[in-house]
Amino acid sequence: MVLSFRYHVIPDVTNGEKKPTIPVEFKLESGGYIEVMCLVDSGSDVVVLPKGIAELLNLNLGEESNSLGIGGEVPVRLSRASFRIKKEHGYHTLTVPVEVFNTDNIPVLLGRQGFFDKFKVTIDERDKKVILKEHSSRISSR
Amino acid sequence: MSINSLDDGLEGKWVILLNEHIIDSGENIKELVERAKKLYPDKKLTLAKVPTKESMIY
Repeated sequence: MVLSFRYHVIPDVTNGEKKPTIPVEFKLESGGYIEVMCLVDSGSDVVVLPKGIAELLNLNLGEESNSLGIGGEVPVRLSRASFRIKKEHGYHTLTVPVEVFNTDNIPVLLGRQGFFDKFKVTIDERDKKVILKEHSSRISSR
Repeated sequence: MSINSLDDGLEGKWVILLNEHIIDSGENIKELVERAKKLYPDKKLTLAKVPTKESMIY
């Protein structure tokens, strides 16, 4: 199964600025789903969530840890989160370890652990596309 | 918020899209999503972060 996503452009705001993002759906604690445009980030070891997403999902936040980025060390809380990615028929559902930042000032980063090990990920910068090729049947599909 | 009122003030903020039109924006994700869900409980809403002009390095 191959999924292809064009880089998302926010209409009338970004003036053609395009990032390697894909739409991911998170189930809200209050019911229903919210689709979030997530940045595909091979440089991130794990999936990173801003605080507000963790609050909407009512995640149980675990121990505090430190995460080292190019901007220095920041405190994070460890947890696990589920999300789904739409495919032609149904969804891929993944449950992955996440690091939650204590700010809303970052996008959702789809890092390697739990995501890049489920898909062969191609970021096609020339054609502005992200291509996900399923590695195996280890992902739950429904 | 009307799409006609948008300007560079949205840079770095979160926006809610309904049918690829911005219907709201803000810096607090939880407040923004809960407000939009209350107004459009049965619609498919998309949350996206408006990029800044600076290069992003995480």
